[in-house]
Amino acid sequence: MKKIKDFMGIVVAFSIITIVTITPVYAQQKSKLTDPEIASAAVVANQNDIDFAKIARQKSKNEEVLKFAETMAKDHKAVIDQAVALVTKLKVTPKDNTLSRKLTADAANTKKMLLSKSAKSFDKAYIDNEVGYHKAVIATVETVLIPQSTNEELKGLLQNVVPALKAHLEHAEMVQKMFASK
Amino acid sequence: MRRLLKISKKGVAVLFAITCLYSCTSPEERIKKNEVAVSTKAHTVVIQQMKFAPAELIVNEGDTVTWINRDIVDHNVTEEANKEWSSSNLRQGKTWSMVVKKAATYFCTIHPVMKGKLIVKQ
Repeated sequence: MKKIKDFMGIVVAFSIITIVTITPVYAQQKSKLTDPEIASAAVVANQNDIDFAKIARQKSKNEEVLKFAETMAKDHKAVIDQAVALVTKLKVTPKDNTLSRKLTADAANTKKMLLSKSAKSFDKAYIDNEVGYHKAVIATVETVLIPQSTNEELKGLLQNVVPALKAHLEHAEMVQKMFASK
Repeated sequence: MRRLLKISKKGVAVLFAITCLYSCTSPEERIKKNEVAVSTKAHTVVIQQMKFAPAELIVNEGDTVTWINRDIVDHNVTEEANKEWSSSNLRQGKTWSMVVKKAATYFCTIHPVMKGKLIVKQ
């Protein structure tokens, strides 16, 4: 019994450490990013959520989860299209950097985790991740990408994206509550 | 002959009273009584920053409301309680109009956290 309690204690402690360290990590970006690096990070952050939505479409049977995933895929694609149009207009080539690499690496782990879930536990895992991911991305956009971007059009595009990210977060929390009440 | 004269005098008096009453009624009261046609108005709701602006719109029955999507992402406008009416999905820059028949709360089915209200003046 004591062993189980100890094990549960370790699991809870590990979960807390994971949440505390992962959530704000993108917002703790130390070195200043250039506009091409910011454009790259923005595209990667949006693409990650499209990839998570693709997994949801494959694995979920829940109508609310599927509707949410469809919205994520469409909205983040629309943001990428706008970003691509802007960098094309500005003749800027998005440049890989520590932040975009971190976003890609973390997303690879998340995809692995989501794919490993059973049909029963997938929906909650997906929505929980969407809540955490949107919180982390909103913090990064507001505290790193917007303040560090020098081109006014790029800054404007990022500012326009924040309300959509916040609406996605609110929507994800709404679906999350449905799972909590079941 | 005298009797006929009496009747016609009464008739004139009644007609005079009706005319007087009608002209003494205010335009607002006549609108309420459906005695005159009400000119309808056009209103615009802008969809921007994931919000309907204004979120609450006061209209008269028969007024036309046009929604315009200024966001990057698609939106729609759907009656909330029974989905009695709905626009198709509106891309950036697209509009949709509707003549208001009754008060309603509405939302965007793509982003269910976005809500708006049409209030019809009584």
